[in-house]
Amino acid sequence: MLRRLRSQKVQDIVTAYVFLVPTLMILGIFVFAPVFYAIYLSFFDYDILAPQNSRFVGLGNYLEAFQDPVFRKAVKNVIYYAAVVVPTQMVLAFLLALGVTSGTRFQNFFRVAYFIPTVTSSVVISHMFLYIYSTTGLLNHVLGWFGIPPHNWMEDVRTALPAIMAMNIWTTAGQYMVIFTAGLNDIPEEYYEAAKVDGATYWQRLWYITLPLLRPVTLFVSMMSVIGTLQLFDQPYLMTNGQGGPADATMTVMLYIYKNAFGGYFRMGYASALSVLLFLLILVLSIIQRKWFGQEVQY
Amino acid sequence: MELSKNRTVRAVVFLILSLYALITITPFLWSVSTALTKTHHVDLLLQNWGIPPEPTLDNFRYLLEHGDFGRWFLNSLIVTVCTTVGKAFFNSLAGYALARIEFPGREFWFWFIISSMMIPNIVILVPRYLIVHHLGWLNRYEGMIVPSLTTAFGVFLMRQFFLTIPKELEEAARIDGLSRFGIFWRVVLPLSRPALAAQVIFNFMEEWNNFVWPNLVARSREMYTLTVGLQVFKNEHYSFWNQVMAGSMFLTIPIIIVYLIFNRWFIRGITISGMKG
Amino acid sequence: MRRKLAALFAALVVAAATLAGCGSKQESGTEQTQSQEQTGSQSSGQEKVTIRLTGWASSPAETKILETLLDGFRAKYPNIEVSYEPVNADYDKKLQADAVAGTMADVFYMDVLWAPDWINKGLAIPLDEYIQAEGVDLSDFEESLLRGFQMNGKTYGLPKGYSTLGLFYNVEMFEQAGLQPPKTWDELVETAKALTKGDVKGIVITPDHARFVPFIYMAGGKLFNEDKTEAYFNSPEAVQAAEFYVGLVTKHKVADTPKALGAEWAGDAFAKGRAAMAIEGHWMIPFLQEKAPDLKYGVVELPEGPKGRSNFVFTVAYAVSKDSKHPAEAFKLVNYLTSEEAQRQMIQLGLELPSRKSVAKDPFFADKPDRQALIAGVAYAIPFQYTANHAPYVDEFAKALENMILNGADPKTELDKVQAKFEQVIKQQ
Repeated sequence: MLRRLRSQKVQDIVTAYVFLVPTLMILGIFVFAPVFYAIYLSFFDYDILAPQNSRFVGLGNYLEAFQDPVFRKAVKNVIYYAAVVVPTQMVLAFLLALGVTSGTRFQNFFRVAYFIPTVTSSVVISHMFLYIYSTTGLLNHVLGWFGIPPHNWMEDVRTALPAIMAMNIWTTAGQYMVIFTAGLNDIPEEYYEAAKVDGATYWQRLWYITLPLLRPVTLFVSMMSVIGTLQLFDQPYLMTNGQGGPADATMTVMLYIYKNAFGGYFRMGYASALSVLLFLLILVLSIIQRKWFGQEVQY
Repeated sequence: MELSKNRTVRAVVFLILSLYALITITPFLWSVSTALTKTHHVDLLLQNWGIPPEPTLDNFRYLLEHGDFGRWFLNSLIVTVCTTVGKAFFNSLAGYALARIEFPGREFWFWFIISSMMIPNIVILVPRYLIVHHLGWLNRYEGMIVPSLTTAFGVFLMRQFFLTIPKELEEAARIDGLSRFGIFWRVVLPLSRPALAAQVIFNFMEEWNNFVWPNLVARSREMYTLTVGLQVFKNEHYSFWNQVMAGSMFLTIPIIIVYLIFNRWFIRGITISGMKG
Repeated sequence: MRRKLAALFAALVVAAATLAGCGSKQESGTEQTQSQEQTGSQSSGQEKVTIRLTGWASSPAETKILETLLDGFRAKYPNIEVSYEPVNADYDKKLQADAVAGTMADVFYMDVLWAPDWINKGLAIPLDEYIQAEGVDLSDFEESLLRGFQMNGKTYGLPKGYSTLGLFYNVEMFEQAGLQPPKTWDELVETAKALTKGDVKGIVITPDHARFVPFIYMAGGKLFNEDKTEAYFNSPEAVQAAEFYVGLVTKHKVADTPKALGAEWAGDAFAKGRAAMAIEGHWMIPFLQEKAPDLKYGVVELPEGPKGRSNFVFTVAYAVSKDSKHPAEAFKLVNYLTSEEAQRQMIQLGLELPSRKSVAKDPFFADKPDRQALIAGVAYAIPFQYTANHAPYVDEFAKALENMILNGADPKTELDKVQAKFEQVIKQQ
């Protein structure tokens, strides 16, 4: 009996690894091996095109990063960006989810309509918004109706980043709406019925039933959202010809890493060090979020 | 949760929802109408409320004649379908092992896989490129497909879903003499259609719109995917708006179709997997 | 169990490390695998070699005419096969990836801006012995073009074509205002003033060093010393040039940036009739033909500054790569594509100006004053080129111009920053 149990166990272990091996191999070869390599490179002054000139610099790249005004500006930008975009798009996505599950008319139409920005390729969206934000574009046209003078949104250091924020909120809210919608559907209708019987108002039900039960979903969405915003790259790249301008106003960490690695700076080692720092930043923020939502998240 | 039965409240909510729908749909409709506009009319669109003065399919015709859009579409389809199916399968396998099989190291591997979600993609681009080169997969479908055959996010999603399937079902199957794989394939997967649908939508979107990687791996014109081809086309043709928009329709419309097909499953899929943490 | 697990993990780590190791070995260039899949067409006959050619094409018409040229080449050299592999998106990045993997095409386009880096890092090989062997007469090439591809007395590429900058002007607007195209800086300001009305600005100004640098030379300044070890980004002449260039927007208010004019780039703003003048190159000509076929425009040389004329010349060369196994054959292709007869065919497309002086005298240009104005500029132009490792300080340069034009920042302070960045970068080398 005991032996059989044991062999059962061994068999389980073998099966588990057989099931896991494809995933582990692919992640190992195409994600983790490159990562170890990048960490290794981050201690070198390394030019991929002239590797013979590379030289060990220890923590030099990391020390330089802390002194580098462009990197500091980029970190500031993405944190500012995340601080505005994450809460805004979550609230918006949540409200939209409430809307499309409220039993209103054309509910399914709204679900598709709100999802459309998410499925449109970022190349198309960026170009469209460049047009919308241009001095003679749609936005100024509309503002003109209210007597507001035209503004050159993408070339003003104060408005360029907020312009990209607005665009990103618009683009991604639909995606998170879908996830919230799913979470809302998951809450049994009986809870609401019972609360109603007890005389709870709509807002009370929302506050005491919906929000607490939605917490895991909220945590999930906020983590995805933070990871997404800190790794912001496509939109500023496409909207500023890869420059992050005007005058670094839309420079992000990813964009700066890209410039160092591929943008003609020929500094692979430095780019690797910046990537490690970005990874650490994401890790720390993810941990903080879990603490902040303060609950036993059962993985 | 049902809104109040009050008609005014419902009307206001409906109005707000409609307004926001206007904001999300207008740019899309705008790009459709630009795609139907002649080059010298593009600047007139705004005055004309977005309606092309002389609607035309010339842009699409031009694309089909001057680009290899047919071939690129096919490549995108091959790559996207293979990765989407492969991801669904491998992610499920791994997710199942992590959710249902007790074995030492389970926690470790779980976190190992999850942690790969936080790695900035750009940093692994060059090493990954070198590895693919070593495998002799440059300019081949393998190079575009194999590296993205699993995702941490997908493994996570599937695992969460499998946790919600009652264990008793599996026990019964086991007593009937099914092997682990048999249980996975015959019992668990059929129950997981909603979660699989969710994966299909997410992965299809991601692969279909992927640009950076295929742009590195595909070297010759006949291996380009749509995203790469479109970018190439833009550079070759001064990027006239109407043509770019017409080209982008090739990109957008298949995703909308996939979304429409899988949408129902999708909402349920996430619901049941519950994003429980 | 534990041990087994540890062993498995160890195996994975070893596998990862091996892969990474292979990667780095590959990069250091000790083993160079030639790409097999693309060159696979080995005919069974005598040794037929395949030469791969890569570059970008600005239009399908260009691809087509290049293919015609290649057919001519194949006919002339039956034992050399050519495979053409254009790359039109992120060419630089792809080329670098190829260089790392050791799979560069035999012949590739080398932009003059990147030439110092690519030559420095050994991507292109010196061509002198082949130039001699084939008896190429270098003196027929425009000197300012060739100079961009020469380093330490060696030649690394033969220019295929070029463009300088010219002042494009809207004929109708000028006729209405009864004006002549400006010949000096002062006239430029006056003309632009007269043409600025309502929605229309006198000139569209791009916050781009690729347009601005010639103004420094017109003011009597220069960017570098002879061997490019010193730079003078913040010289009094550079400040004077910046004050003039930026002043068109900020002080005189007779100019604006393309985006402010609701356009993507200066040519677009010009085509839309939002600006009466624009500083652009030869690429404007086919663009305007398609975008604004009815617009009547003229091109003149850039106006003369207080210390004379200057211009930038943008050019691309055919170069032979470090990974080529058949450099002699590869150079035959370079030579063929830059030959007089090839260029005479190429100019009919009207995409760029010919790099050979003999071809510039072709009757094709006789009745084309717009192109002649651009050709005239090459006599006194400098290559659009900085130094190796230029990207960090040139990015700083771009930011400085944005800050000056869009935020009204002080030119001297901004140019000081560029200078500081240059010194930092050069020190790092």
